[in-house]
This record gives sequence, C-alpha cells and structure tokens, in this order.
Amino acid sequence: MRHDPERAAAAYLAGELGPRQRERFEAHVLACDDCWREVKASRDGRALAESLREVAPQHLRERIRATIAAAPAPRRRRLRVRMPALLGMTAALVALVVAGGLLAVRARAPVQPAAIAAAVANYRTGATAWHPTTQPPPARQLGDLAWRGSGQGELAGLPVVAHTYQDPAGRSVVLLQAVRSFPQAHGASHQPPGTTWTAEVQGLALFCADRPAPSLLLGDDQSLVLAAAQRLGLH
Amino acid sequence: MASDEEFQRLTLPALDLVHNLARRFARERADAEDLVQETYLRAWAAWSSGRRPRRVEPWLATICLNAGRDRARRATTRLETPAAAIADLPDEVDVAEEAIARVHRALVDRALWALPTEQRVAIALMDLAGLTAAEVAKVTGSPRGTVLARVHRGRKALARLVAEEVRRHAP
Repeated sequence: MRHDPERAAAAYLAGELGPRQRERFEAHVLACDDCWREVKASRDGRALAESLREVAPQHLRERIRATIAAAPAPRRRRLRVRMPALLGMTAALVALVVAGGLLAVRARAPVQPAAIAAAVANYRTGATAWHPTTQPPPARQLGDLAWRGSGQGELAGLPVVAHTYQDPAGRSVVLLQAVRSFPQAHGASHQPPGTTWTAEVQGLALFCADRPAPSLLLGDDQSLVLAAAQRLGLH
Repeated sequence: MASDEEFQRLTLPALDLVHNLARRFARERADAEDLVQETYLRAWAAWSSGRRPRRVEPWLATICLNAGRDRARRATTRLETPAAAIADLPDEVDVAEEAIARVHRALVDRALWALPTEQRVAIALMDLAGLTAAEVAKVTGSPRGTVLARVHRGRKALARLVAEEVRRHAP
C-alpha cells in the first residue's frame, strides 16, 4: 500500500481506523517523521478550533423560546382512516365527517408567517434582539411616545430597522421598517382604503402599512399603536 | 400531538452547537444570533409539518448551514453595515486572564475565517459541532474522504496561520 501520511493521519484522527489498523498506525507514527508531523499539526489545529467553543448567551436562549412561542402553531398529521370493508359506505361517510371536522379545526389554528412570528418574539425580548444602526428614527417624538433607540436585524430573512418608543408610563411601541412588504398576519383585518392592516398576535397589537415605506408597528396597547401610526402618517 | 414544549425540549440542548456553527457561518455576532433564530424558525416549521429527525444535531446543523448560505447570498440587500458590531465589545469588566483569552480567541477566529470556506465549514461541523465525518459528509453533500481531507488540511493551515501570527506579534 502507498505511504500517504496526510490521508493516514486524517483517518486516524477522525476515528476511521479499525482497532488493528489503529494499533499498526500508532506503532508506525513513532518511527515516521512525516506521519508524526501530520498528526501533530492536525491535533494542534483541532485544539485551536475547539478553543473557539462558547456557550450561547442567555438572551439568545430567551429569544429562541419567545420565537417558538410566537411562531406558527404545529399542524396535526393527517388522520389515516382504514376503512373496514364490511362498513362500506356508512363508514366512509363517518370518516369524511370526522376528517372534515378535523380539517375545520386545523383551519382555525392561528398560523403566523415566520417574519411576523419573529417580529413578535423580538418585541418580547427587547433591545437584545437588535444590533446597532446609524439610521435615524422617522421622528423623535410621536405624541406621548419618545424615541428610545434603534437597531437592525433580520426577521426570518427580511432585513429590518427597529425604532423603539416609550411613553411616560413605560409602555412601548416598536416601529419596524423594511425594504420590502411585511407578510400579512393571520386574522388581520384591512383598514380602508385597503393598503394597511391591523391584527392581534399573542396579545400584541400590530399595525402594518406599505406606504410611504413598508412599516410594522407593534405594542401592548392598541390605542398607542394606532396613535403612533397616525402620527407617522401611515393611515 | 406535536407541541412547542416537545420541540424545545429536544432542540434547545443543541443551542450551543447551533450558536457555535452560526458564529462560523456569519462573521458578526449579531448576524450569527439572527442566523440562530432563523435556524430554529425553519426547524420549527419543519417539525410542525411532521418532520422528526433521527438525530437533532446533524438536522439543525444542516438547516443552519443552508440558512447561512442563503443569508450570504442575500448579504448585498443589507440596509447598512453596523460599524459598532465589528469589534466584539466585552459585556462585563475584563480581568487579565479573560482579556488574554479574548485576544487568543480573536486571533484563532481570524485565522479560521482566512481558510477556504469548505475547510472552515468542515472544521466548524466536526470540531465545534462534534459531528462525525459521515454526518459532515451528509450535511455538506460531499464524499467522506473529501470531508476528512478538508478537515485535516484546514486544521494544519489553522495551526500554521496562528503560529505565524503569534511569531509576528512576539516581542
């Protein structure tokens, strides 16, 4: 067999060798400078790479939990109905009624688009969900709401800039601005003239408009959200 | 019945793994955290439609790798580059030991990013995520021999780059 130190060392360190091959290689390495160098360099590299391991920060763990909690509800698997031959048409009818009922229940489940679920989760986790931006807010004051800070990030692949506002009572409204339209939340109702929608998701009030720029407002208090939308000229 | 509790119970123990991978697929820390969120959202969507992986770790690693590639393609549509995020700022008061560890990690991280993408990805999956060569082969869609070669050459290059860097900064 051809002597290939690189291949042999790679297989050895990956645990790919059987017990006998392993023993043979370990004996060989002691006498072969080329193989020794290969094993040593690869082990050093592995130790360096492993030194980069870190524990995920707590705020990220909370953000993921909140994201899953706000994300689409799980769908049930389709009911498999095995129809006994003797029951014939009656059983088929019953099965259809049962399946229809299940489908109707499933259709009522609140399924939110991923970007909306992520927006709600990020609202819950607060400023930790965003990273710095130099983009200024559209306004520093929206009635009682004062601008508190801005950040940027992505919501399930949609790049957004987030501007946070707070009123004197500590109630928050977050304005998200994107380069393209937000998906419509499940259960949203359209506001005249039909270019905006409002929705309630996980107890949060949402207001979305496409003009003058794709914008989504979120807050615990619906009246505050609507007032902010009006101040921003989104109505 | 599938539930978010069951999903979280099975997938959250792999959060460190996904986070470590995301840090190797996205350069900025905040982008890596966005990538982790996207990975979990995609996994949750698949789970909700009935997907049940045999092993959670390679499954999440595959999703993370694909989401990372998609994000790299979308990178040109970013609104702006966050200047403040370029440096990793310390969260708490640094002690000397922690400062040295940070310098060391920054140096190794830079060296890892200097490797060809295939080598960096293979090292991240094997040495940071702890996947086997067979699992890395499946995740990346490459033959096992190729994976072993990439990891081996990548590790050697990493050791050489770090040694050169240390020599350059030696007093």
